[in-house]
Amino acid sequence: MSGKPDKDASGDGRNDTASRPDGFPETYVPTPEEARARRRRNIAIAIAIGVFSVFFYAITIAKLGVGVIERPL
Amino acid sequence: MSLANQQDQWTGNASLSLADPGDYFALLKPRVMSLVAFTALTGILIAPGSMHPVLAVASLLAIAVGAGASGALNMWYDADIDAVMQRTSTRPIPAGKVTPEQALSFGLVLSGLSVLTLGVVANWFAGAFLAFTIFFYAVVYTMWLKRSTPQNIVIGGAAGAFPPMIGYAAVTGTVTVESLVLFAIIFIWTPPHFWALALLKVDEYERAGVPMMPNVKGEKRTRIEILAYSLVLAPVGVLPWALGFASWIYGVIAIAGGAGMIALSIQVLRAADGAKLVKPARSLFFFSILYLFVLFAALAAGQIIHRVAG
Repeated sequence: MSGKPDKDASGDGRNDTASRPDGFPETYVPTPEEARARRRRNIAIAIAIGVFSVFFYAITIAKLGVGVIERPL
Repeated sequence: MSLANQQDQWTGNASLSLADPGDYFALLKPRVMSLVAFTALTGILIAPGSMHPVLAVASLLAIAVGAGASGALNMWYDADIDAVMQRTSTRPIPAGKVTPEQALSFGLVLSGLSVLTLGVVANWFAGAFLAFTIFFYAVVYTMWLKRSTPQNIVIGGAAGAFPPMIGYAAVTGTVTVESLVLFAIIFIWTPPHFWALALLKVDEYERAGVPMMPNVKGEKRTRIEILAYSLVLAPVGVLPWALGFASWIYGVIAIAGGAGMIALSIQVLRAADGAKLVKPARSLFFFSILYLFVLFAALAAGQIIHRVAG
């Protein structure tokens, strides 16, 4: 691919490609600020999934009512 | 990581989003969402019949999230307008914290999730009604009416008036006169409320190119229409009592509130142009919020007392 830079745009060498044999960084290294924001988003997503699971569990119990324990074996 | 971001990475422009969860929450327009949840709760409470409390709370959450999703879709489409208006320039997209594509995805996913949840939890009529409301706000109002006619908030106001009907439909699975009255109160309340704000923000709407009533028809015509809508709103606000599904206490509150709306609208009509208009227009704007809140709170409280006592 043409246009590969020797240095990454951040200017701090985090994603410097010049020293790598294929010219591409193996992984993108986020800035500390980006990493913190990503961590906060991940925590929020985890909480949202947890709440959603409990939410639908409660809905299921509420809709089924006593039917939950009166099912045929 | 998306292909676009991978491409960016190879060309040295890679970056991760700096958006916080709070930025995504802001996309939901939390204040509007809370008002929607409140009016929907009133719809649930005045509906005949009963609903399991867990299912009622779940329905309410689904309606609130649906409203938030339509807010995110609105911010996605209106990012260009938001950027030039002082009141909205700090929203997540114009502030550069969330990309328009991220807001669109967020809004679409939450729209689907909220509609499916309400359909499963309550009934599919309510779910379909919520889907229509999201469509009405995001497409009919945001994409079509807002930029094309000074009647934008009149017709578009229906989207904000549907939630109590959705709440009512979540319990009953249908539409009745009672839920239509709740719709009518919010629908007729919307023009005087928003035009009071528009009178205060004429320059900003002008700069953004949004054809609000004061910009297109002039301030005089706007003031007359504000009074006209308030004159219709006052008796419509009393209808829940007149039709027998609210107490006389509600009736007294509605009569007093309606009189307040008319009195403040007359002040707006009589005020001199320019700086003299700011105070009455601002008073009407804030009083209109109080009026709607108190009316629906009185309806909800009356139903709670009736159920507890009965």
